[in-house]
Amino acid sequence: MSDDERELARLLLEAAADPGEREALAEAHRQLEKDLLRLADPLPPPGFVAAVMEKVSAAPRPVSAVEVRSAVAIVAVALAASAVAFVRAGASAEGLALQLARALVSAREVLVGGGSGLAAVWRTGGLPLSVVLAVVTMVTLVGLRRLVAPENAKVVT
Amino acid sequence: MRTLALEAPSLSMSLLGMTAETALPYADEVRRARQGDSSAFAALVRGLQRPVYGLCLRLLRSDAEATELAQETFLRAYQHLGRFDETRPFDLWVLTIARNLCLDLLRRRQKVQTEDVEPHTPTLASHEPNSEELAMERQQRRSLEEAMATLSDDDREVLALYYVQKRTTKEIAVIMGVAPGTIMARLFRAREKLRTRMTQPEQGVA
Repeated sequence: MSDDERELARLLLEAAADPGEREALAEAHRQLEKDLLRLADPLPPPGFVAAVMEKVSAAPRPVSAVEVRSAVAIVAVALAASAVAFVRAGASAEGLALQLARALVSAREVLVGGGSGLAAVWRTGGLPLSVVLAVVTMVTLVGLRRLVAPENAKVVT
Repeated sequence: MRTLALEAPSLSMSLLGMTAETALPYADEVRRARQGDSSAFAALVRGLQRPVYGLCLRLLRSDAEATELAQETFLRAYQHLGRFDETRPFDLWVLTIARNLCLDLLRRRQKVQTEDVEPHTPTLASHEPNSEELAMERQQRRSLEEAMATLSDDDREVLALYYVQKRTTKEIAVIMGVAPGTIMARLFRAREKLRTRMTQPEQGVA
């Protein structure tokens, strides 16, 4: 006898002390159960699924737990890097500003150098460079699309 | 004694009996939906629309509100798909959302207590073939539905989940957030009230 059956027997005993009365009650419940088991859930109105999907498509895309963890990790790394930079600058606002200014000057030098390099490459092989850049951009865009919405990627071939 | 209901098949598997190796219903659709596949989510809606709408309709007793809340249930499920624990049955999770939304609405209804609220008994669609021979059975079914509609929200809910949706007592306990041991007693009391209402219909509508 399962727990459920034992519980049912206890409830019947509680409801009817007389054995005959108890058997009649049990039979009435059995009959009622037969009728109840014949009931079925109705179908929702036509267009229900379409209406749900319309609402779903209008709603913002759900954020997955992986994405939340990634975002938290990025913010944590950025904060840690800021804290390290602050400490290395002597833990003072003046030191941090000085370090930022140095970084800006270095970045300017890197940009100017990079620009000169690109200009030289363009002068010597402009067409191949354009083709390579176009291919890299396309591959990146297709990859990003596949990553964001796999079902859409099937349409774009 | 052994009740018929104890032999009834369950639509989904018992939570407690579930092992990591057991395939959960809708697991593949859920995984694809989480990856952004909207067709997989549409398949989930199609698969669960009937139990979700049915539960809402039995709790709210209003076609329009049941439709609205069933749609809201799926929208909430979609928005919180990222937080869903894939080791648990998806259908029970969605039914729990539906139940919570319905109970919120019922609580709001009780607070408002508008004068023009009348007991509404929707005609639950019969899916039997339209035959003269089945007229008597349909009438009995209608009487049962009407008697059920006079029960309390809790009683209607437990009867609908157990007999109409064929859920196990453990699954019902998960959906209702109560101890599994209390479900049999709730079912018995609900059946007893229903039996009384059906034998004394004039006292049925409270």
